[in-house]
Amino acid sequence: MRLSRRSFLASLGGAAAGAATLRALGQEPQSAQQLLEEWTNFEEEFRVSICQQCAGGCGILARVVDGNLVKIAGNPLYPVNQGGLCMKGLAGTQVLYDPDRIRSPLQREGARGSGRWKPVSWEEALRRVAGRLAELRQKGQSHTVAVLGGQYRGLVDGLLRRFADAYGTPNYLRLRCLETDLGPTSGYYLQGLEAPLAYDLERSRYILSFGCNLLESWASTVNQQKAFGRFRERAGGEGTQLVMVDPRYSVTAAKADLWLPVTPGTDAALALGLAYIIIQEGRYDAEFVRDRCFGFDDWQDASGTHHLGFKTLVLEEYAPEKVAAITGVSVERLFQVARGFAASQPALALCERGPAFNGSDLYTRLAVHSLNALVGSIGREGGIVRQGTVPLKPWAALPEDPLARAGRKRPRIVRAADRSDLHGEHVAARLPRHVLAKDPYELNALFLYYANPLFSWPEREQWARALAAVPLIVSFSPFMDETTRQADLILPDCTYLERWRDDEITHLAGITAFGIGEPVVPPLYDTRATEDVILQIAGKLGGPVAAALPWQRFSGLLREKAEGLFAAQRGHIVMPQQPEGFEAVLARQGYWQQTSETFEDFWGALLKKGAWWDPNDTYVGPRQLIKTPSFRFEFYSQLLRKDLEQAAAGMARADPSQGAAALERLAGSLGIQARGDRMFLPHFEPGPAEGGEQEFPYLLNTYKLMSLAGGKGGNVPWLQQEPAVHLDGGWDSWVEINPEEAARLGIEDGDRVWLESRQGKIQVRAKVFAATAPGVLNMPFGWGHRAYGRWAQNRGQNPNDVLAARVDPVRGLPALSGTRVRLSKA
Amino acid sequence: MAEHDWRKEEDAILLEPVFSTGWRFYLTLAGLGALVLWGVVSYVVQYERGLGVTGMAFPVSWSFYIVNFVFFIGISHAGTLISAILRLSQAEWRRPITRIAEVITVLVLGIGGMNILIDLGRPDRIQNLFLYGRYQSPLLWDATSVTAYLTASSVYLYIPMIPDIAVLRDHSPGGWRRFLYEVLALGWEGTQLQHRILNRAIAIMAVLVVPIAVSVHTVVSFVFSMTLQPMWHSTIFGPYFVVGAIFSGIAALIVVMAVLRKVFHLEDYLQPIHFNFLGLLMLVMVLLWCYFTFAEYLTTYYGNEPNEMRVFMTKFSGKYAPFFWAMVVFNFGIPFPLLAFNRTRTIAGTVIASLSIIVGMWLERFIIIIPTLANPRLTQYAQGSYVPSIVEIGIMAGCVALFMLLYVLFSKLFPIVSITEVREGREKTVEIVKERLQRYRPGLGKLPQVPA
Amino acid sequence: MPRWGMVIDLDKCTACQACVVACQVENNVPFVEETEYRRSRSLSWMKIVSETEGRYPDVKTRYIPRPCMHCDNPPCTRVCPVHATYLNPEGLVAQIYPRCIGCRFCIAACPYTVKYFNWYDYHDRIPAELRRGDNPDVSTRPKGVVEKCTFCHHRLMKAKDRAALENRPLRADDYVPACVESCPSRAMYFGDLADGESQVSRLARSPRAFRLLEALGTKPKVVYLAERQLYG
Ligand SMILES: Nc1nc2c(c(=O)[nH]1)N[C@H]1C(S)=C(S)[C@@H](COP(=O)(O)OP(=O)(O)OC[C@H]3O[C@@H](n4cnc5c(=O)[nH]c(N)nc54)[C@H](O)[C@@H]3O)O[C@H]1N2
Ligand SMILES: Nc1nc2c(c(=O)[nH]1)N[C@H]1C(S)=C(S)[C@@H](COP(=O)(O)OP(=O)(O)OC[C@H]3O[C@@H](n4cnc5c(=O)[nH]c(N)nc54)[C@H](O)[C@@H]3O)O[C@H]1N2
Ligand code: SF4
Ligand code: SF4
Ligand code: SF4
Ligand code: SF4
Ligand code: SF4
Ligand SMILES: [Mo]
Repeated sequence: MRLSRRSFLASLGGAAAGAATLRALGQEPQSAQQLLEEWTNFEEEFRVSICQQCAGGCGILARVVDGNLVKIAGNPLYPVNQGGLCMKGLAGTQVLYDPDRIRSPLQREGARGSGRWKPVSWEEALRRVAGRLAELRQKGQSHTVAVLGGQYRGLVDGLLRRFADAYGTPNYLRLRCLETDLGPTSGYYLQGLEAPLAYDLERSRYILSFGCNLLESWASTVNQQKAFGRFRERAGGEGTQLVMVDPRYSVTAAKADLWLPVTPGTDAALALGLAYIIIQEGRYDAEFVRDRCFGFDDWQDASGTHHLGFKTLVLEEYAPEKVAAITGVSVERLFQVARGFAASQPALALCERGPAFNGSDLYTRLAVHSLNALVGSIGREGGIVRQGTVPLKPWAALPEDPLARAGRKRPRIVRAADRSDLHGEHVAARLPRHVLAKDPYELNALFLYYANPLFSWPEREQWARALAAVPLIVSFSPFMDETTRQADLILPDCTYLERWRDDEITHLAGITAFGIGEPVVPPLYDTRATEDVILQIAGKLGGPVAAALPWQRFSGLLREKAEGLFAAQRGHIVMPQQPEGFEAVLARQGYWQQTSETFEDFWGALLKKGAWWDPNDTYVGPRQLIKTPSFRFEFYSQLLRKDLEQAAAGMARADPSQGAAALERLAGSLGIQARGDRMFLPHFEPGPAEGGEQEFPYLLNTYKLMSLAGGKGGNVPWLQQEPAVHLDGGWDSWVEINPEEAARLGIEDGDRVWLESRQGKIQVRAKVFAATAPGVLNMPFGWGHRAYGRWAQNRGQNPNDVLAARVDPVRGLPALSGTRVRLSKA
Repeated sequence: MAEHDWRKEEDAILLEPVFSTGWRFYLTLAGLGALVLWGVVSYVVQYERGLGVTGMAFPVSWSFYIVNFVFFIGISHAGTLISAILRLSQAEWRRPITRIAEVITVLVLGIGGMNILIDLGRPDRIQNLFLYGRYQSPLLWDATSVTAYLTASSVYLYIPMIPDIAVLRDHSPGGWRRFLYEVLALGWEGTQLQHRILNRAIAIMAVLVVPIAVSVHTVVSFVFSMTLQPMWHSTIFGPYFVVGAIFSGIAALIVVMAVLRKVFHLEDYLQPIHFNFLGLLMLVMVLLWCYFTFAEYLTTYYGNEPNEMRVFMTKFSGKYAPFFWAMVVFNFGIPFPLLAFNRTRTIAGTVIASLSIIVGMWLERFIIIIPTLANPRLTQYAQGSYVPSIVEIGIMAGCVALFMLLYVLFSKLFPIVSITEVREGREKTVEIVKERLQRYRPGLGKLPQVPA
Repeated sequence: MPRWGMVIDLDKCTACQACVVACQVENNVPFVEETEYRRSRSLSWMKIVSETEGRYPDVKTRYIPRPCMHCDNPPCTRVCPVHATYLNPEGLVAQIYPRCIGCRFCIAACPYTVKYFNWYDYHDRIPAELRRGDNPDVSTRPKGVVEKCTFCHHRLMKAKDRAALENRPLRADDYVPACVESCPSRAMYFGDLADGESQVSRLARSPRAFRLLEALGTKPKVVYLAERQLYG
């Protein structure tokens, strides 16, 4: 848009101010006339795109003046955030304009990690990569190439998978954490769903969150906060109550109606303790349980064998007194919450990621999710809803290519040789062990995309050794992070503001939508969007690889995909919300009205508004949401039984034991303590004991801050300056300590303290915080970079330096909390 | 024309510093000059880089400079006010000390005012005070009354000095000094008429100066009390500040007197009795100051308003307690016993008491200003502390040194004890006192009527 | 004449600090580096302040977003010797940066401690690359002057101009400050308090409404709605 000259000067509060800004922009003011001309002829544009500071996927509206990105705001039309934005998203300009970005492809000079680089041309860099890839492929080694991805959204995931498939490697791995990425969990085992669970937070009346940090992280915090705003708007009779189960007094806990500090790692016991009260007092949805659930009561299978039911299990093993002792939650509280949860319908119990990385992830999720079935929240408004699918045009079949097929068919590198690891193939964190052991094969090339394991995960020495063993490391990062420093070649990506963005919104909030955005500004430096680079590499590889990825540019692929939306005859391009009209009513009944005549129109409008949305795809009855073999919600998971038995059978090939004995062996190797039917039922598994309570009296809990997106954000001064509301920190990390404990140790607020585990020790700033539980120390994740530019480097400490090498019993996920530590004044 | 030898003058010793210069003078000058230079360099650094070079921050955004401003302005009450009060009350013993006092006022007032300028973030925009001045701002009240006081004090210093300047003129061998004295002497010949006019002018100025002086420190206090801030927003701040000002002023005067007495060998002029009398006056001020402090703190404490109490408690037992209690010791603990007993109210005793009070009153200004800023009403929102930076210390040292330097220079140019007044005293005191006694001593007036 | 005011619902506010950063980006509020930060020199026109009461496990932390209150009876403007801060006819308490002499009297006089001083030329210290992101609608402040929340005054001027260009009166949603715009939970409301029917006026009459340090008589135009307690 263009403003009048008068308005513009007025908006500056006078020409003097204008000159000041001009100076600030690094231009010398020239003559007054010239100045005025420049200022009155500016170009102002608003462009839609999608945030990628975290994986929340909020829509943004960028204001670009004279080619400079001067403001990022929320896109008011975007289904996820509807105009709101979080501090990370808002601070995105400082990511784009970070002075320490990588400005061109770099080739390593000198030893790895020496920090000596030589700028090279894209042509040369691509030739080198493609040459090596072609060579490996020719040698039948294509499976020894891996792509390690981190947190991102959009079709780039599909593109990388396609590339891996076409090239011939099973090793497109992602270091991820929420249910959407972890392979089968509660949604699959209890409901038989392939799609992730979707929670209708906004309409729920009672939310019991087991470590899901709704107001600071999780999926899109903006979306969750929007829902929270609604809870409060409806306060009074119909308000939604939020109960936060978390050993730490997080901001979410502070804002919740009730905070339940729980002994870390005992959430499953807590959930089942609540189930006990609900069942005992007959407060569960008897009809739902009778008609739609399986395995609630004891049952007999076809062979007449008696099986344990959920009810018996719970009533026998999770009496309130016992649960109170395990979890540290008082019996009164248990009753209060169980009754509240059962009485306020619809109610939701959430467990994704939070406690999952602390104790037995799988069984905790199963235990919590069974609460949702108990109160009949499956498939209803305000409960578990459907994650719809976005009707993008499907990928064409891969061209016939024996080389690729052979490569694809190799086991993933993270897979145990005997396949006894159940979900191991989804756990990229297992990569170093396998690389070092060359098990099942060695790795010849590693591509890093949005992943910085040398900072983000525990056991960093092991990661470092594993990386050292890989002959070629290529990083796509636009920032010189710890792992990128170890690369041989850097093919710098554009930041998310300089490239095409898209998002197939498969969201925990159950939104069926597709977001898209053109580059907000052209690339500042000689960088290229990784999506385009992948296509270019494929082109250089030629043959079937190129044929599988025929697009010149990623934008072409996006356009083609969007044709599916146009053809789908449902949903619409987002528009300002209208009051509920006739059309909306019709739409809900399945009528669809065409708004764009041609695809050209549709595409143009889509790029302008930023998203396509089908809001009527979410609410469906329980029937569509339960796809188990019994077509019932299975408290007793037959799918889990099948998986475990299959894994046991896989093991049996190496070891001749059969049936129950084989299962037992498997359980032993997976670290499952339960035996028999319990293995297929939600139950509480105490986490792996580390021991040493005397020597290391505290449990270290690490967590995410609103202000930092994992390892990202350290390079954003605005975020560094205001990282935490509850503690008033800044430019540094800290560890939170209970005041009495601190007094006992002679530690005062702001003192430097040593935090020591068996793994190592770090010196951090102490924050004496009244809400900290006595036996727990809380330390935020995000500081302690040893690279990543001037703002991030050498600030604060990284808790991963002291985290023990503990993994989740069933699946081998690294435990990010619960390491035993001790504390002393430095 | 061969001038008279000044050495032959009566009170020649008073002229000695003016006409003979020793190496000590240059040494002093060099020492003080170096300190002043430190101050100037510090200020240049501050001007160039911004007030960031100070220890100030959020929310303690006023500190050393404002403390010094209040402190110096307080000291300035030494002179003109005391001298005027003594003149008006016809205290005969005032004669050798009036000028000593008045010079303090003029110099220190300038330096005090300068501290406000030093404190400005944008001294380059000082013209805005004239262009856009807003008279609601107590800061402008300050500017006005400080200017008025400075003008009045300068005039009040200058007028009684005219006869002395004439003496200097008469003894000057020529050159710029002679020219200076000629001009400043305004053609003083010592005629009857000139004397009458002079005395009249002095009397008028003496009357004028008192309310201005009182107003100055009152409005200085208004800078604080006109805000709503805890432990600033107080109605007794005006008189409280005035009392504190006179208190510190007398202390400064005594110290300066003692130094001059020693350096210029003025034992004959500045007698123990002067110190004794000023000591008594100071004793009264000790008690008055205590009274005000007590009243101020008790009302706060008794009212027990949480915001006020937070400030109170940081002073009383918190972070600022060392300063608070040091202030009590320096302003009361040390001076009171020294001044209360005749045996200790000696020169040495009063000087020790005065030095203590000077430190104590600086602390008092500090303890009034900083804790309130550090504990605003919404304390949980912003709490701060303050440690001065080297720049502030440099500038403060520079200010103190500048005061001394200017004082030394003044005493190099003009007799620091008024020759005229001393002579007049010598000639007329007995007469005057007798006459006065006659007027009010009961019975004495009627004495002549009693038949022999 | 409108009287612009803000309502912040503390029940809905999640202390997410979106408003804080939105303000910094919108108003070119410079960040300060660690050394300056440690000396508590950072500038934050909008700040979330927190207060924790009690002991584990019976604790409660409360959060309050704190912009300038734009007092109708502002103690800060009266003390300014050069008229560099003043209450404008629409109720905004404005700053004139080029006039401010940096005496900091207004800082000392503001009971809400919302004013910030440019101890150094912080903006000059920011690398040129980052300064490309400056908002051209808002002047940057040099060293030695005071700044604070302006209720995004420049947005009002632009909104008025836009309305004038389109030949229509100013609409309620034409003028929305940056912080309000970005608030994810929609805890902030902005509008005309002089219009008794506006949303802010209605909310300001709520029984939950209160103002900070109301007893001082400063008449803040930022109204808070108290947090509710749902759970026993
Ligand atoms: N602001 C922000 N948002 C983000 C991210 C970010 O880095 N910053 N990252 C994104 C990513 S990648 C992810 S995976 C998600 C993660 O989102 P969440 O899963 O919500 O992860 P955290 O924020 O770390 O919160 C985990 C909480 O679990 C608590 N906790 C630890 N142990 C236990 C336990 O045994 N039981 C219970 N009940 N609680 C426990 C911790 O104290 C912590 O408060 O967030 C995403 N969103
Ligand atoms: N102690 C502890 N450790 C944790 C956690 C915890 O809670 N506690 N959380 C864990 C979780 S849930 C996660 S998901 C991980 C997150 O950790 P990672 O998955 O490593 O993710 P980030 O550190 O957020 O970002 C990875 C890298 O992406 C690169 N990057 C940034 N922008 C771009 C871009 O535009 N293009 C490209 N190609 N690359 C870019 C940056 O170089 C950055 O280093 O951390 C885990 N680590
Ligand atoms: S939650 Fe924040 S950082 Fe994550 S996508 Fe949304 S705006 Fe961006
Ligand atoms: S943006 Fe809204 S919810 Fe977030 S802190 Fe500010 S007022 Fe509260
Ligand atoms: S909050 Fe402070 S700065 Fe803002 S108007 Fe009120 S007194 Fe002035
Ligand atoms: S600092 Fe500036 S705005 Fe504040 S009172 Fe002084 S001149 Fe006025
Ligand atoms: S109204 Fe504008 S200036 Fe004030 S806090 Fe909000 S964004 Fe900042
Ligand atoms: Mo994650």
